[in-house]
Amino acid sequence: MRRLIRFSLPLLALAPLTQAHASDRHFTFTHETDVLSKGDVELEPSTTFRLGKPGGYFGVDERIEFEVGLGHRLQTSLYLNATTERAGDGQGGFTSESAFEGVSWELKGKLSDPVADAIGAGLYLEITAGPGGVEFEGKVLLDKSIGNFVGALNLVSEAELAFHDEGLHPEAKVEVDLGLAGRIGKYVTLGVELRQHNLIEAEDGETQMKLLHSALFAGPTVAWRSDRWWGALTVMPQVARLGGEGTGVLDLEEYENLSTRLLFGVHL
Amino acid sequence: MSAGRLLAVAIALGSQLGCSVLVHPADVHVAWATPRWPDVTLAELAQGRTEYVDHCAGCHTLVRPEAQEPEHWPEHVSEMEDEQGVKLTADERQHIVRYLMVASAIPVVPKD
Repeated sequence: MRRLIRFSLPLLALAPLTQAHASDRHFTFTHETDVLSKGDVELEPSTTFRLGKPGGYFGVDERIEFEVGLGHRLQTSLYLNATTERAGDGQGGFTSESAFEGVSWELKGKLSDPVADAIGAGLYLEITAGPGGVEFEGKVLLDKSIGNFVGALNLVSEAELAFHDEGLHPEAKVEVDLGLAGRIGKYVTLGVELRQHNLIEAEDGETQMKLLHSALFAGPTVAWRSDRWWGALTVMPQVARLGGEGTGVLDLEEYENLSTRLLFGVHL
Repeated sequence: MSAGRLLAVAIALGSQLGCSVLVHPADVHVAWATPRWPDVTLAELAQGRTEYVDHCAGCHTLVRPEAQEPEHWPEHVSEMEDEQGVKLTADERQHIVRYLMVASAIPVVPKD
């Protein structure tokens, strides 16, 4: 992760020299349908802090994204992914581990516009390959902008083949993301994001897939833009366990109590 | 909330979404435009709407035409070309400016 940070910081420093661009996002977990114009390039570093599991767990997910506009309402992206995790070892100490999680390729297409049409719509495909496995993620993107209000809804489906010692382990994730925000002046939006996540997989030693974890997250989001760059921050506590195995109000076996994502965009 | 109220909210929301689209040019727009540009056609105004969405939505959230007075749009489009590097042909500029001006003047097609 340190290598990724070292790589991204000099690029962020270029921000004051670059021209303003308005593919700015209002949310960090929820995608909108906007795509870059043909030939436009944007750098988006993203950091997600995850904490609040038993044992003093703390995780940081770092993603560096390069977006390129392809024209015809299409854009593509390449991501570098890394994770750092710290967890209790059960004897009062902590272990810390950093790992390169692989690369991702994304293709996003815009079908309709959130201002010009009744509903903005888009499709999103992301493929990730890394030392831990292969993931395929598809999203249906819907959004709408009316006056100073922006809303976005994502329907997300993800299939993963994780490399385990005993072979490939399939997982499926289904997620719904919702973002609602209002513009406060020219540069700032304030709103809320909701995320409902479900994990479906076979338990150890079994072959039948079933819903093991399901939780709802919700929290405030703020986004801001200057003439040269934009940023967004969401603080997303887990609100409730919605199903799956286990007991308790929250699911702290699979998910964290609190996720916070910080996202920047710089037009290159 | 009762089913009736839920339906009313859904209809109101759907109506709001329907009203919030960029207006599609109609005969009333051609009538407004003809005294200014005798050669204007409905097809040209429709082309201007398409080109406005295609050229401008890639870089910024579209500005609704009625957000500015009609006579301000030519200058605003020129600013986008001069200051933001937007590249338009003369035909594209004419189509877009004409659409934005008529849509600013008549943002919603009156119902008969």
